[in-house]
Amino acid sequence: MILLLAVVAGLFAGLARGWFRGQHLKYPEIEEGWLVFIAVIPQLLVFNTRTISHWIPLQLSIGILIVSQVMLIWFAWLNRSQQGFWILGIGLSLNFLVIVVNGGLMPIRPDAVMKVYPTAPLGVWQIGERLGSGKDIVLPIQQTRLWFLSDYFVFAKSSWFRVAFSIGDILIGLGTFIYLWSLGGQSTKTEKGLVIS
Amino acid sequence: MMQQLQKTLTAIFGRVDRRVVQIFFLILTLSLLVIGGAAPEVGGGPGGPGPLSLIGNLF
Repeated sequence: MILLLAVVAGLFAGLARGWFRGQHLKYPEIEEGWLVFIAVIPQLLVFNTRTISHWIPLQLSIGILIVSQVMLIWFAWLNRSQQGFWILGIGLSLNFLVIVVNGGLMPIRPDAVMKVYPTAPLGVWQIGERLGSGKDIVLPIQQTRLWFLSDYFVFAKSSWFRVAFSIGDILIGLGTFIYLWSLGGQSTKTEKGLVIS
Repeated sequence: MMQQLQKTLTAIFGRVDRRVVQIFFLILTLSLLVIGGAAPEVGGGPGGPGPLSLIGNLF
């Protein structure tokens, strides 16, 4: 959810850029946007809806996550002509890669879990097990393939906001921001899109 | 899909500008994209870090 900030920041940046340049925000048509809905809605049900996630077998959840990621990468590929989508696509692919080579869930190191959830009761999470009903699995670095692509990085300076994230997450946020930022730029006749006033 | 969205929004709010629908659709698509594609693990929150029951759950 934290990456929604990239969407909000990118939108405001695009609007501000357009405003400073005295131009309207342009709206390039996104190709096959329905793919995102088809890909993410099952994932939201399986990983973000507690009442449902408890009934779904782990292997099925993993299958849904992987198919969902493939569809999102496909979507990014179809829209690669848009600014930022190459970066976004690389981020999606890096997350997909580390998830696949580690059995279908995103690895997170135990000390990162302790930093993100310092007050979690003992025994609530275990090494080698899925973390809650989310997308992560707790794995030591030594047992993690391509550990540098996992949720290795931690921001825990604040007591109310702590997050573990991957390089892929950064690129996804960055690509989204760049795309929205680009909407505030000058539109040309060769670009497909509409102009928003 | 966007036409369907416009019909739905029009049914809810009355007359809706197509451009508003386009921006709404764009933001919705990008929001779902980052939620589905990224996998950050977020802890903490108002009142201090919560238990693992909060992990990844909307409902």
